[in-house]
Amino acid sequence: MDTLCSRMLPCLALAPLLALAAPPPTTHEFLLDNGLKVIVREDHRAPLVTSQLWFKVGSADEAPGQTGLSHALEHMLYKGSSKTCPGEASAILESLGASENAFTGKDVTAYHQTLPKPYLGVAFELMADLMSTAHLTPEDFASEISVIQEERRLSVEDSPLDTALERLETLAYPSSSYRTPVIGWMNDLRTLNTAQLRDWYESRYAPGNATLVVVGDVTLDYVQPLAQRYFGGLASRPLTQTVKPRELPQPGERRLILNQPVPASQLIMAFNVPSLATADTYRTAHALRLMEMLLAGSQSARLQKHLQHKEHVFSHVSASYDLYSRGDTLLTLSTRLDSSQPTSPETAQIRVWDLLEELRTTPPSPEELERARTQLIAQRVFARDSIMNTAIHLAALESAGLSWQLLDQEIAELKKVTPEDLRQVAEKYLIRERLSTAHVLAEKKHG
Amino acid sequence: MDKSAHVFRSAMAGFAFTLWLSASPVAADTAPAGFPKSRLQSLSETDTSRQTPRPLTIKGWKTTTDIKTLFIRTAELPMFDVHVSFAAGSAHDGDNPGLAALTFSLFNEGVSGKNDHAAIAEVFDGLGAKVGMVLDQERATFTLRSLSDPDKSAPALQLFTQMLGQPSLSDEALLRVKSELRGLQLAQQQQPADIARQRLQELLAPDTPYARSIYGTDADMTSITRQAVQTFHRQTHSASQTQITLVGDLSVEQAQAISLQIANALPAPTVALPAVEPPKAFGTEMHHHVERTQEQTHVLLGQPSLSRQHEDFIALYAGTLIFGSGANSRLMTELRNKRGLVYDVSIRTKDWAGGGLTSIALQTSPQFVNETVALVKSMLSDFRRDGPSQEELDHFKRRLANANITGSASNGQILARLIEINRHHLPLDLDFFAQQVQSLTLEQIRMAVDKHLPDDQWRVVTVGPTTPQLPLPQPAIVPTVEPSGHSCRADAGFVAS
Repeated sequence: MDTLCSRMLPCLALAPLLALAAPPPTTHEFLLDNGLKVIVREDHRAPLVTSQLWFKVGSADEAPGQTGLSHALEHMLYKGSSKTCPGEASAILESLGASENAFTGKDVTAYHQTLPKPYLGVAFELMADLMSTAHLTPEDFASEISVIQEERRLSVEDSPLDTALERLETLAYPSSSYRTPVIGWMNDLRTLNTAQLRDWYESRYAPGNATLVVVGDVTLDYVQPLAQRYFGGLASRPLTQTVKPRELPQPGERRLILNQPVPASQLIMAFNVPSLATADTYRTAHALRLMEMLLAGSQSARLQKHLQHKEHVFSHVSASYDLYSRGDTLLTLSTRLDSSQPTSPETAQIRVWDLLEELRTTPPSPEELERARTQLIAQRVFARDSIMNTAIHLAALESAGLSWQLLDQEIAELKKVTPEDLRQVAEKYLIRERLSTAHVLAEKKHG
Repeated sequence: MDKSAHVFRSAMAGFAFTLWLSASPVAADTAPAGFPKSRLQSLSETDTSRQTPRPLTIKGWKTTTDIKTLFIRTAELPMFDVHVSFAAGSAHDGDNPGLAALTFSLFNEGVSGKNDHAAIAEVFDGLGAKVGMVLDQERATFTLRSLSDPDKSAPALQLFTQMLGQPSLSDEALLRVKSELRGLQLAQQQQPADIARQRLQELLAPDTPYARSIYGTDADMTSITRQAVQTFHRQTHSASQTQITLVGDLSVEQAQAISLQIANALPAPTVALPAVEPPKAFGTEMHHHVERTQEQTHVLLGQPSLSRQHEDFIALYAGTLIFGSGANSRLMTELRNKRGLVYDVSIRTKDWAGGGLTSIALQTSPQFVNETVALVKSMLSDFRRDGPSQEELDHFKRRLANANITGSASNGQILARLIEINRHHLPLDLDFFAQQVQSLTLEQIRMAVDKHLPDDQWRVVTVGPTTPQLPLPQPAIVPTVEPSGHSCRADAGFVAS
């Protein structure tokens, strides 16, 4: 449930992860003297390239009262710098045919441009300038913070599901800063100022706190001199400690009840679980991914098969698990109740609990596990279609404090997981002491 | 998988096709040179005028049953996409509103040997295949994305084909699907964007199939029988007006075999449904408000526009994109960048009711709605009178020539373009639109907008709470680059007259 808010588009989630058939694509890495880490992956299918600059700063780093700071700073970088007028960076990239945007998450702030290969230097020059000389003026901030408030109204206040998830996270993360919403609380958005932005910019946008990932029709010989030319001149700066939010091992069962203008009641169940970066072994994290898929990741998954298509308890089911979170994360089951049935969220939860109980005691059949595994592997092959997706996965791994090389090992890791691993993961993590639920009840106001 | 292999072979035996045309890309016409002054060194050092897109060749043929099929081979990734499109949208409902939606929703609810959605999904999931289904007023479309390993693709194609050609359409499934669609109707009635779109259609084409929701109403649906669904399936999912588009790791022979496998599975053509008449006249009510308690008001402006076949289509479409598409359009500059009124605002043109529909969607705080609508209308009026500026047109041409490279790279992008070409019978050239744009003149665009988007034809739908109205915030002064390229120059820009 890693909410990412982008500068130009409604919130988007990390796209499905990437798969690699053997042998892995040619990939290079190097470090500039100022600490900027650069990763280059070759993909010569088409004459274009994606360049992504990821900073290790997000809402998890923000102090109470200053929530939304990372996201607001992301918006303000396009409002003028030593080489650009407000809006000019975006206009130049647009005229080069770039698909470009930026987004902020709990752990990261990222700027990405996909454009014809000869313009890679333009993307580098712009990003190097934006990360070091942004003007951040109060005049520009006055209108931009209105834009961000409208963004919040659109993506949270007027979206019952997003409202519920935002509130649920405040319960689900009792001790970790992942409770902070990426877009920030409205009250904080009313008081944020450019002095705070400037402080955040100076302390967090150091080259050593960033990863530059380039994927496309390029070679090391093409990228390295350009990276050195445009980013090499940036001064090295002291780094702030990156937070790695950890959660209590057994926080206790928590529950939230909300009345919202929804067509049918909703039940959301979130379990505190480790990510790839915090699990005792990689295998545990991959078992959790398979668990998500097998439980509720497709139309043949257990919740869909039994509780949606057979018993009609739900009309919609989805699941999420943020493998690449830097800290401890959540495995979340989101459901909408079937409005033609009289079932309450309470009763529905009991039915879900029965299914979970079965997994805690009996390993899934090898066939069922294989189906989940095949889907994840196929998703990874399909995700390679987009060089932007590939770059996102490489950058997300690095930003979580892991190596990009794990991406090329994922299929092998998935293949190690056994039915008994899934049972053990269910027994350890899918328990009441790790559970937060939201019951979203349909209010009749809008009939 | 022997059984599937056998299906493949027999499909090949009965195959006859005409290869009408193949086309390879050529570089887009040169975009305007001389990028506006900037302070970037890299820009002055790079040739920004000429780029060549990924080399791709379109193959086209018709199956023996006359289904137009287009294919592009991309062999680098072990995957492919099949897209099948039927003229079976809700406008074809006739006297049974909801009939198209019910039929459509039944395709993955059962085939012989697999009696419900989960049983069908289990097969596709076990093969790693993804099925996509989209219904709109015009068409019903189905996509299959599969790994190209024959052990995975052959059974996936077999089930996909069976779904399209021999769905069970059982009474039991019909009951399930009616309940499911009721839920979707209910959900749609709670979504402000859906409410606005629905009301706009009602304003534009009252008392026609185009005014209706694709789901019909609850009452309409209840009375629809299995027999009506079966008849609709036979009439609208035969080869008539059906199109197949393929992209990916397939040989031409494999792609041809797949097209024939699908063609042969479809119902034999019967007496086709009569074509849906475009509305004879558009509605005369110009404004509609839906009261709802929300933080923001959704605003939708729209009017009928041109079909792809119209000679002014490209000029008009280019004009609308310059006006309202992207982060630097007139709409975004005035509403978001200068006044902070919206997070997003955009214009879009879609095929609708035998022609087109051009609409502008935005969400803003309720107290600014009246003035925001007035500002947008005033901007439209000025654009209609003056057309775009030379700078805007040059920027647009550069953008399109370059975006042509970034927009035809992945299988997903290539498929999307090829579907458009197939649907609208455009020349077999992925770069056709980008090239046409390069020869547009200011006057062509101005005239197209002036002629086809008259000021007095904009319908306006608002969905949100009624509140006392306020004047807009003063526009911020947005600096632009000095002609020298050395600094920013203040430009107050558009002021509503």
